[in-house]
Amino acid sequence: MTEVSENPTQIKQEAKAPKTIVPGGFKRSVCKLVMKLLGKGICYGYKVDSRIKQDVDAIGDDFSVKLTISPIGPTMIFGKKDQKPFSRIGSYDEEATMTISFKGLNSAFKMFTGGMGLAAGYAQHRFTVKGDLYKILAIVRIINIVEGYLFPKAMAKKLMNPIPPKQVNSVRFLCGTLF
Amino acid sequence: MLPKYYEFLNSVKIMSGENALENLPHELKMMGAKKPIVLTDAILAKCGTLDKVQKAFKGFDIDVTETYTEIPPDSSIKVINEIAGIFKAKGCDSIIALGGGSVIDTAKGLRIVIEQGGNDIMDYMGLDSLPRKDRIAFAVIPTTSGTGSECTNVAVIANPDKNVKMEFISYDLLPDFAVLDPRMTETMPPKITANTGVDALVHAIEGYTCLQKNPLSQSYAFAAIRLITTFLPKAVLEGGNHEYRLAMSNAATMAGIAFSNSMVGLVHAIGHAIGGVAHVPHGIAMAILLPHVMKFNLETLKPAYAELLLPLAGAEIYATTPKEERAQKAIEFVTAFIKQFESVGLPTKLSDAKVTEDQFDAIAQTAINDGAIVVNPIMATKEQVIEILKEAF
Ligand SMILES: [Fe+2]
Repeated sequence: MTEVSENPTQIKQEAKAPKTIVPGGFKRSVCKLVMKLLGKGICYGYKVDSRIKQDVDAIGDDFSVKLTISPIGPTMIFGKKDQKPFSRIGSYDEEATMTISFKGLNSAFKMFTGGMGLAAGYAQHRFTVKGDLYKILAIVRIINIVEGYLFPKAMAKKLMNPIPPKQVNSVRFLCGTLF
Repeated sequence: MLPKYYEFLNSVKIMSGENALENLPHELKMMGAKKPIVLTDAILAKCGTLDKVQKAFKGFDIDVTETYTEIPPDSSIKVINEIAGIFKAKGCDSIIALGGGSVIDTAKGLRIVIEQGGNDIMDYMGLDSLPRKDRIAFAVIPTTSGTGSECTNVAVIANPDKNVKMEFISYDLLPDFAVLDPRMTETMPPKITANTGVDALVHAIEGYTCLQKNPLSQSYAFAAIRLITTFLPKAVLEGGNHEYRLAMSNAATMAGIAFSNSMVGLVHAIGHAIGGVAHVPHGIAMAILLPHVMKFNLETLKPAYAELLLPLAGAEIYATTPKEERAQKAIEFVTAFIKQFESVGLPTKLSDAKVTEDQFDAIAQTAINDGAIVVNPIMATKEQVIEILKEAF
């Protein structure tokens, strides 16, 4: 919240940055892909899973959550505006109502690819949070439920205890998310 | 067994024992403090405890006349922002907190606002996200033995407009000094001694067992439990005894260090919610909930609870209890240990603490949004929280 907002050209700059100077380019690309999927999954989940809808609505009517990886991203923003959920790839420096920032790429990669759950990430001090900690729990549940749909069961089992039950089947969820 | 990764910090200088207070002015002088603001509550200001603190500074070039004595039992953002204004207007340069959890949490919030250079504590909500700024000296003199707040990186501050408690977690919340002087706790009434002491017990048990546990935090927790089960009943019966008081102060501080580095779990998640919804004092909520949450966690935490039977019940009972029965025995011990304080008025059922069944839904809804629920080994659902509340009713 204390971060200074950057100008709108920031997004373009990130996109244009030559790939060779980005450390951990492969892992960052994978994280970006999973983030994208997660964002779309949240938006689709809002329509088909009552728990996701309930938690998104409980966070507020107009909010944005920034998920990012230090020190340069990738960054995904999701939230709700005009009664509708949204998600998009954003820039590292932009402001949001709440920011969850992973301290390093390797642990972020683990968390986005099913090697570590959010609870373990928290216990290991792998990320920082700016904003109302009270709302973080709703975010954690939303992400857990979406990951429960998107990740294979064996993977989900490693991530959370217990795995949240599904309200629609995973294939349908994945199709809804992708198309 | 080591966790895959952990962090541990306790940077607080602990000053424990007879006349501990007497060494505080020197420490503040060494940090260049000239004009601390002394935060306390109305009762401590009236009963002469504040006087004792001020007297300890006689002859030093440190002005301790600037006091704020109206801190309410639930520290709130409004109070913090108000004191921040006073701090700046009066040219204060350091903080002394004299009191229990609420006073200490208020002081922590004040320090953040002053150090970060803002006016509103709400701007600094979060986890581990505050940049390091120039430190101002911050001493804590606890007058209860329970919260351990003198050595924790957590502050819980109420937001009365939204009727919620907000959590701040940052290493910047750790004070510089914790003064454990038995004169500061000797007048605590038996019921408060009991419920704050049980709070410390919960800190130690949850600090020992939650997901963020690590060998350092577990060592503190283990030692704290031994002190609490040995000295809490004695301190309740004989409050004027400095040995018992000091043992409990140390236990609470050690339990605080433990949970500051491993966080608390489901007992606290539900306890905070009961505090918010039904206004049950924290220690009382802890006493009521602990045995029931231990039962809920038993399957997952069997080995850890079995280990805890040793500090809880002592070597004799530990050795004569078969291995597979130790965890269950630990829960039985905790239940009986808490029950003994019914004689000084400690409620052990929610119904005795004036909680009503129609509040369960609101309590459970609040509990599942409490940060403490994340590090509990089983992430409880709303329905499970309601089941626990029914058991504890
Ligand atoms: Fe507590």
